[in-house]
Amino acid sequence: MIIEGGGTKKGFGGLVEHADICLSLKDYKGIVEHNPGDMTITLKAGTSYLEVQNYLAGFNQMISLDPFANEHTSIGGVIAANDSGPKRLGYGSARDAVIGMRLVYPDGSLIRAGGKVVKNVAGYDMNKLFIGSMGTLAVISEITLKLRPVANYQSLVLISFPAGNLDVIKQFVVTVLDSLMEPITLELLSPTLAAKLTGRREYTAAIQFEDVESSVHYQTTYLENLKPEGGTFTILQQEDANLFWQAFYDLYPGLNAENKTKSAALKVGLKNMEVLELLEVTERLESGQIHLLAHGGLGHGISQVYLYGESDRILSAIQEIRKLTSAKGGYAIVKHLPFSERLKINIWDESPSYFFLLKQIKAKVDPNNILNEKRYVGGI
Amino acid sequence: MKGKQIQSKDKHIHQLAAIVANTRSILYKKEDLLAYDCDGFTIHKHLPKAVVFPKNTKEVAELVRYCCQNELPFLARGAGTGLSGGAIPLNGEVIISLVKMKNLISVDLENRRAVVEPGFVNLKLTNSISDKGYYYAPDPSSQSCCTIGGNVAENAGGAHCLKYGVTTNHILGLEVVVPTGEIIEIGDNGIPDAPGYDLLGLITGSEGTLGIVTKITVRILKNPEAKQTVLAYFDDVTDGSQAVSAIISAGIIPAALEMMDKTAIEGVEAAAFPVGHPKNIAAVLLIEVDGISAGIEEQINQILSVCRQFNVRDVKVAQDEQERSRWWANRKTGFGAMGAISPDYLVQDGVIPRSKLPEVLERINQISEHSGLRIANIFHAGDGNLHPLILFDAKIPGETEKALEAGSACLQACAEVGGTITGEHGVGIEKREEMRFVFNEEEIAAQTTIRSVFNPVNLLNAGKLFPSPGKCVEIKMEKKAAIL
Amino acid sequence: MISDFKDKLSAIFPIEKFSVEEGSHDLGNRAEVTVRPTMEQEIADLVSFAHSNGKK
Repeated sequence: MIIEGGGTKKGFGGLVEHADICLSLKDYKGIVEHNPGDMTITLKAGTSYLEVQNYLAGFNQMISLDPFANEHTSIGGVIAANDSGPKRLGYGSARDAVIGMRLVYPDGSLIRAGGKVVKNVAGYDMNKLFIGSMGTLAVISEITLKLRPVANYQSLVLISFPAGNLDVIKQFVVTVLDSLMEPITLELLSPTLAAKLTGRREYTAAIQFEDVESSVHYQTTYLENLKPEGGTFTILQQEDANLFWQAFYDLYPGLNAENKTKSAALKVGLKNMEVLELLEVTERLESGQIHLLAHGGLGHGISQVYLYGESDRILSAIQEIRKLTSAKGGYAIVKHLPFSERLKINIWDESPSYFFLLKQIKAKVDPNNILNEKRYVGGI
Repeated sequence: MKGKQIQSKDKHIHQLAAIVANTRSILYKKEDLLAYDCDGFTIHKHLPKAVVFPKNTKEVAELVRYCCQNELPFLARGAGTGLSGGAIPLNGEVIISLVKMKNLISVDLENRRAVVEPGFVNLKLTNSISDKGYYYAPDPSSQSCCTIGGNVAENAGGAHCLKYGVTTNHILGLEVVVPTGEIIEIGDNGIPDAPGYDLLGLITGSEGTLGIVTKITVRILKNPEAKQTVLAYFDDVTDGSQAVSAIISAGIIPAALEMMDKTAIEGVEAAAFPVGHPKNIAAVLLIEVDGISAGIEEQINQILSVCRQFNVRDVKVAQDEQERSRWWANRKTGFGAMGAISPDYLVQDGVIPRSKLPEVLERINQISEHSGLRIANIFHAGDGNLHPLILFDAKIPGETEKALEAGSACLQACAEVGGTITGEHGVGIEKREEMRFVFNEEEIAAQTTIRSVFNPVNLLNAGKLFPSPGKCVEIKMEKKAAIL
Repeated sequence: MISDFKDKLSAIFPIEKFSVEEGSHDLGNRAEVTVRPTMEQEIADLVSFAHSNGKK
């Protein structure tokens, strides 16, 4: 059987064309418990991620994740797929936010992992097993998350680098990272992506600050003084920053009805500075036959690449990108690809050397192999 | 082989010595083993079969394989500062001590990571990179002697984990010798979210039952530009604990938010680092904010106004680094300070939702009255992590048992309000049975199933972390009998 | 075969909670039957049904 929340990740993994049963958690939704004073929330897995964020905004609180989500995206899907965006530099990722889960095991038993408190070392940290496991071990029933206060103020700085000279960008980023500033994002956008979002076809750094107002202004001023020669410098404050990010997340192919089928998306892991090399590769691959949009976090090393074009072009571009990631010891996971193409490529990239342990975990937890068969690493 | 001859008739001792290739890298005589019969949890003691000191991963793997082939129980040990008995050789284990694997392998400031061997001392990492303006965030109170390998095993916390997280949030990669002797590398190059179940997260905090960590890639952070520390005195514990929640709700995540109650204050003021806390106060909060200098004043003002809203008697802002250090020394030596007002003490480690603090403190008060033992409370109030310190005298017959019972009752109180039995010290031997306060049998079985994947014969650190199955059957039978 | 398994399913689930085949064909991850539980116990029942009937 396959497990589904809002259905925004249908293009993510899965080599079985037809399962017997689809367990949809669309109608299994709602807030089980929200304790504003404790800053924790427990949600049923099918709850809409954006609805919860809107609800929490009324308490000046938020789930500190920034996945690529639309109104259909469920919290269960975000956690099961371990999705994250540029703000993981400041917020951390799902493994830092989830403190507890209720799981339905393949034999039907209800198992709790973690708890409802923010610090907990009682037993194994079982939450970690299910985050990102694509529903191959258990059905996530409820998720408890720790919340963050919404910062009093936010600004987004966009700096474009005209010549496209990567050394200039690297110099700039190294200086920012080595400074005392505390950016929430340090995301580099490829020229093609920047063109879509800002109208300037240049490498562009998107650097977000969230803090008390005086601190945000202090940090944007610092950046202004650091601005490279010939670069443009734009500040988007408060709601304007939100609007930019909204447009940014909306570009994700899995969310976009019209280009779902002739598109692909990759999640790429590299060392921080190697993100520059990845963006150089995607820029080089751009042609009349294939269009690529890319962005990557220079403070955390996770990038996303979106590819548009005929399927053979997409597949060969993925191979090109994997040449870089495998040479650097990184990875490129295909997060979105039509079913027929998924059969032609290893979605999860190379299996790790400790794959024998992963296989045994699956075999012990789901011995009849009923949950999301062949949806995960190495055919698990 | 260098050094003296091995004087033992046990062939295993000779073989183990051969693996570490140095007779000074093994202890096997009773008088030498005595120092290894317990860790920071001193109530249970047991002698190991031997203690070996490998120098590298290869030797660790060979030792593990030897133990497997010969069915010798074994476990790993760092500095032995653990507070729950995780490194106690309950089954006469061969102890694989990692203190000789203590190198800082590499530091990569650009990519913000460092690679260390497991025996590398926590504070040494920060000391090695502080001149460049960087530090390693997890700061358990024992950080001047505890090892990062031990921190990974216990998923250690510390006073500053409220804002920066515990050990698991800072581990990017591990090299592990699994109990069958294979060497695996997780998170190659320290790149996050590598495809596959998150074994990094699973192994961190597994208390040395899933494998022996031989190399660790950690995240390092840039020092904050500025920090400021405040002391706030309250006449009422409820006011103090409400202030804690209100500060965080105001949008501030302090770097640390610590609380001590009246008995704890009496202890720290009688010990080595008194700072002149008033005697008749119900609670003191130690609050530290850090971050961008331009924002610190605004945050401090907000904190002061929240404290006033909750009837604070007095607030003080640290005037200089010297004053700040004195306040922290007073707090960080808090456990040991109990020695100044009691011959012995037992420290517990429950966690509760912050908002339940007044309720749980009242319960602990009742437990104290019921047991006739004083209980001091020191806690990481920001994340609800309580450390009740049960004061007792082991020389009085029966008092140790009473203290253990009172400690267990405190944990039950935490579990009953939706909390848990340990926030940073681990389960070890100490809280095995208390696991039942938070997990049922199926949930414990789900965890031991995972253990069986890594540790199929259960030779590695057996008897830790989970309640003994025998006992659980007894409890079940008792329950059945009660129903019948 | 399919109908037999749907009969079995409908014995444990109210009929309005499941439907036959929907969703995008190009992306795969389709199934013969979609079930939409609203309670945890229903999830557990469905999963044990699949577990013991060899359904995937």
